[in-house]
Amino acid sequence: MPVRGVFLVIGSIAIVGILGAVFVRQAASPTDDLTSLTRARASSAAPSTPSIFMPPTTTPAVPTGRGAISGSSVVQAEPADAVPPVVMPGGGGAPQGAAPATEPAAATMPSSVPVVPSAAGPNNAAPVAGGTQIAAPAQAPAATGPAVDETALRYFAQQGDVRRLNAEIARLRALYPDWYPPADMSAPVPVTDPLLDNMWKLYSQGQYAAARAAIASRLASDPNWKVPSDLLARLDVGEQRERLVNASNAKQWDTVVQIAAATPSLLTCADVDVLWRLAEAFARSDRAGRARDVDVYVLTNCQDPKERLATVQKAMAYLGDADLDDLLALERTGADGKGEFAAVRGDIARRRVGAAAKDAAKTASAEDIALLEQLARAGTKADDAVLLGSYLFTHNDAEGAVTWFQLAKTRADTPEIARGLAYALNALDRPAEAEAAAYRWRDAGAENKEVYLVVATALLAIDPPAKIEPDVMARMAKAISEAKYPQGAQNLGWYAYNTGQTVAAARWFSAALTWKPDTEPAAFGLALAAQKLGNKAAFAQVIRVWGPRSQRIADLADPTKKAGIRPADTFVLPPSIANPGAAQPGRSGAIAPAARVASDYAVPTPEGAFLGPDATTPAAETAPARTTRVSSSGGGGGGAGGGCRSTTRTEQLRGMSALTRGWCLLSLNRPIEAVDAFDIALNTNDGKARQDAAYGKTLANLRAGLTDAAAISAAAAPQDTRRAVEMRTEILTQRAIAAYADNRWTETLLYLDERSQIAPEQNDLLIIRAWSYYHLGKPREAKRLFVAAAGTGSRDAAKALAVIANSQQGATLGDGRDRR
Amino acid sequence: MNFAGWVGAMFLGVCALQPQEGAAAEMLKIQATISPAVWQAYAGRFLDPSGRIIDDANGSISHSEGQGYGLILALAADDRASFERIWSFTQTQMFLRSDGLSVWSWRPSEPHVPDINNASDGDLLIAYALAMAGKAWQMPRYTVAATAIAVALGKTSIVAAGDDTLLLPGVDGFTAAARKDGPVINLSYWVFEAMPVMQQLVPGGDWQKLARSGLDLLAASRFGRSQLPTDWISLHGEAPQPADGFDPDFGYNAIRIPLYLVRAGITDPAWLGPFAAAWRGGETRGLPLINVQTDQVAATLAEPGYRMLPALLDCVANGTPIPPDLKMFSPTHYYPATLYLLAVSYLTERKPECL
Repeated sequence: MPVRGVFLVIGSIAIVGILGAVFVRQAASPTDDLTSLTRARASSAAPSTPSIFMPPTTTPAVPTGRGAISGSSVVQAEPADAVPPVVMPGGGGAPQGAAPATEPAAATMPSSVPVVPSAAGPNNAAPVAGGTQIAAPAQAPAATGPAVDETALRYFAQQGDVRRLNAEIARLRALYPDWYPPADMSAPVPVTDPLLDNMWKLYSQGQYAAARAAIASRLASDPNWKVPSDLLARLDVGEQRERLVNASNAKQWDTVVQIAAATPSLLTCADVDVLWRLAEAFARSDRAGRARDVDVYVLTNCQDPKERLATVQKAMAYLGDADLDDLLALERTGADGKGEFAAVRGDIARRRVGAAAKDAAKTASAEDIALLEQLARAGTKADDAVLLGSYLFTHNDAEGAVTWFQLAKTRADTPEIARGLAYALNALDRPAEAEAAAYRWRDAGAENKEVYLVVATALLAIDPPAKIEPDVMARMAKAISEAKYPQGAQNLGWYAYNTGQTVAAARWFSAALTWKPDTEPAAFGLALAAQKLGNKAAFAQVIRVWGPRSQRIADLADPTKKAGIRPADTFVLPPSIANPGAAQPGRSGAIAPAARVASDYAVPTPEGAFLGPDATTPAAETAPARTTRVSSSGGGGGGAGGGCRSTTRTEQLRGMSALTRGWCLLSLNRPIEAVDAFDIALNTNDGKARQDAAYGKTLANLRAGLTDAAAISAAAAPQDTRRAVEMRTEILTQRAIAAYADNRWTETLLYLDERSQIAPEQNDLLIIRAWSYYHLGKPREAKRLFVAAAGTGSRDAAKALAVIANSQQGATLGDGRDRR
Repeated sequence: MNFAGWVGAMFLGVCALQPQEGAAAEMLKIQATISPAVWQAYAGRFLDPSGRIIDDANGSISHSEGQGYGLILALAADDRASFERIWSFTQTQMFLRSDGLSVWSWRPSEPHVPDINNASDGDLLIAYALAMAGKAWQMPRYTVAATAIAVALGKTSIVAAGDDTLLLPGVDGFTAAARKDGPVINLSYWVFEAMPVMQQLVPGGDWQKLARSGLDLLAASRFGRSQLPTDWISLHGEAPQPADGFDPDFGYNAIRIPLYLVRAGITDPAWLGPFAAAWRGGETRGLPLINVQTDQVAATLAEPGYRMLPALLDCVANGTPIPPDLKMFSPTHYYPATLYLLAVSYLTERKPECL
């Protein structure tokens, strides 16, 4: 409602204005209204109540009908009241001037104001009429005490020191114009008004309903009795306070603001709870600025340290950072140099860093980070460290994140920490550690499951394939299998393929495609695996389905490209490998699930079984055999050869047995593992063994397609000329083939030319050369070479001639290239 | 009811709502119409020292209706102290809404106010009691508070619907927008005797129109063979119908309608006829609650407070004295005890010969 809205705006402005005015007053006088009241009505001597808090009071008219009284007449108030005879020294009546012992600011206490003011003299026989007006006159100055301290007065009176007595009276009258000297300075304690006392007591206990009832009862039996208006006023204020608290509890924010605006006397430091509720009401009704103003008022004016701290703590729940800073700026420093809000600053820093940790666009300030770091180190819990780790990770500091998550891990072991650490390690390309970190909590929930799968997949994707312990591999495979995680299955497939476990690879690619039918890389891998296993039917099926969708898969079946794929297929085994001792390479065909292979690269099938290693590929034997080489290190494979299927871990081998194992693995077409074995064998002093190891390692690298690594290992040990040439030849061969596969025709020719200087060029390479010419736009040279090769019986060359013949009918120069 | 009967009822309705001066002659005084002993019997059971009226058949909660009745009865008993207690509690614990109306219920366990919706009959009863007490006891504070509530009701709960002026049972949930069959009204929320009083407090308000509409709607809401209104009525269609989701009963709510008519001085048989007919013999046999769709008795209420209502109608129509057993006040539960005292207060003031 617009009217109500306007009222609220005005009201809130009014509150702020009033608070501002009060601030000025409060700064001067710390104590206030309600405090003094609740302290048993014994008020301080100084008038400390800002009048802004006092409701306007009016002096009720006093019936003068009771008549002037002279002499020692007694003022009869009401039958219920026992008003002591008022006797002034020197006769005449003078009214009791005492206030009902509540307010020092007697100026606003009308209840005791007699109608007829006397000239300020003890001898003044002013008529008294005030007895009827308010019950207050029954209050004596002495015992429960109005503000006026009459001790001196009584002393002088008793001493008979009239001069000083008069001076004191004059002083007190000047201070308290509504006060009159007591009737009898030596009188005993006068009778009070027990009913009124009881009303005040009920009020001070907060029993407003009962207090009201008592007043009403009295008025019913005594219609002429006048309720002390400040009692009524205080009851009003008390009831409004209760109403405000109830409205706040019931979340009626507008009501809270309305009541506060209408009853500004509630807004004092003595009643900080009201101010807190008002601030909250402003905040929760979208007036955060007003809420801040109220809190600023509290911090500027109120002294109690616990309340001050609580103010900031509450404000954290509804104020934004900028407003909160305004409050923190009002922090006071204690004698020990520590700020009073120190306890809360940590929480604020946590909140800010926490918000920034979730939002990469936000940055936390350096002070907040520093404070949080300090708290994290000094504390015993992990939470702050986790917060820092999350923040740093979100803000691209994975190193820092790892540090903090690791610290957190020393203090607690929770899914959240595992997750954060795993992601951070993964971002630093340390997926093996990430997997270890994520493993324990992988089942703790969807997010932890996901991080485990992600880092496991990343670990599998490392090129060259990382060494993975069998139990780690098994658990990753199990998790990927259970979660049906296509990306993981795909990576398992490539890992298996690249470590020569083609059947497992095929099964994983198949699984990946089952879980995500449109994943092309898995289809490509499946095609390769099928091709490698010689499974023509499966291969053809894959090509049929995926050929139209993927060029590289289609190319697998394309004769013009066939020669360039899988250098390992055209690789030649040296005789020492082809016939190593008693080693029996397994043949393709029936792959029986062998005993579990304790190898660092063995990949289980999706069903969890470990297969035997692959057969050597038939393609590997199409190339002409090279001259037999016998390793002079004796025995070659020896008796140990047949045992490299399921043996002890590679690291545990030494020297000769490592070398033997390397040859064995190479024969089983497990080049990656062979590299490891040869590596260990390299650590020998035996020069010959070293030579063999370096040679073996080069071959293994070449087999694995790691041409660069092969070049390095070729230089690891001096070789005799023949081996050196052989290795160099193979390296160049592989490089030429790789360049050709990459359509880098010129490089292909360069490598082939270099190679042809040290080794004869066989048909297969000749065909590659010819095709390179062709793709470089030199069909005549290409044709010449094809003719030469066809002449020696190469069917591939004959096919190539046919293809060229077809394409050259009406083809332009660039046609061959477009056929890719 | 046929057309002629309808017109007759309208005419009587118009007559019933006399202009201000006539209304003043009809208005009850209320003050000092219940003896201290009787009041003590009621207050001892149902008035907590904190000032809340306890509905002991309803989980001992308090509600704005109970507070309103409590205030009226305290005035009737001329008990200023109790009135103060009740008003103090009501004001501090229940007037929490920012629109100046009271929450409808308060419960002893925390949170005390789980539902901040209001009930307009409670607000109206409270305002009425405050206005009457303000006059009787010369308490301007009460009159000011009554006026504020009357203004708030006018702003939030008195709405026009076609030719009618309606009192929404609560600010939320009863309009056409809020319910498929809205607007839904409760005719027992029309405290007819209060409306001229409200009109005096807020001369620009629609209280007169509201009262007239209430009678029109009452005349149009004669359902079933017994020609009685149900507790909750939908005004969605052409004619009033029992509202969805409530029992189609002339039930606990609606039994107050004849009581309010009588107290407002609307005693013509044309208005009270159907009620008197349905309740014949009820002062001894019990008060029937009637399902207007099946015309069956849904329940018979035997407590003396309920049985007082048929006795009241009988007195008003025929001068029949109140049966002796009903002249003794033995409070059973809050609601029947309250109805009983409202009846007694009226009889004391207007029909002492029946007592």
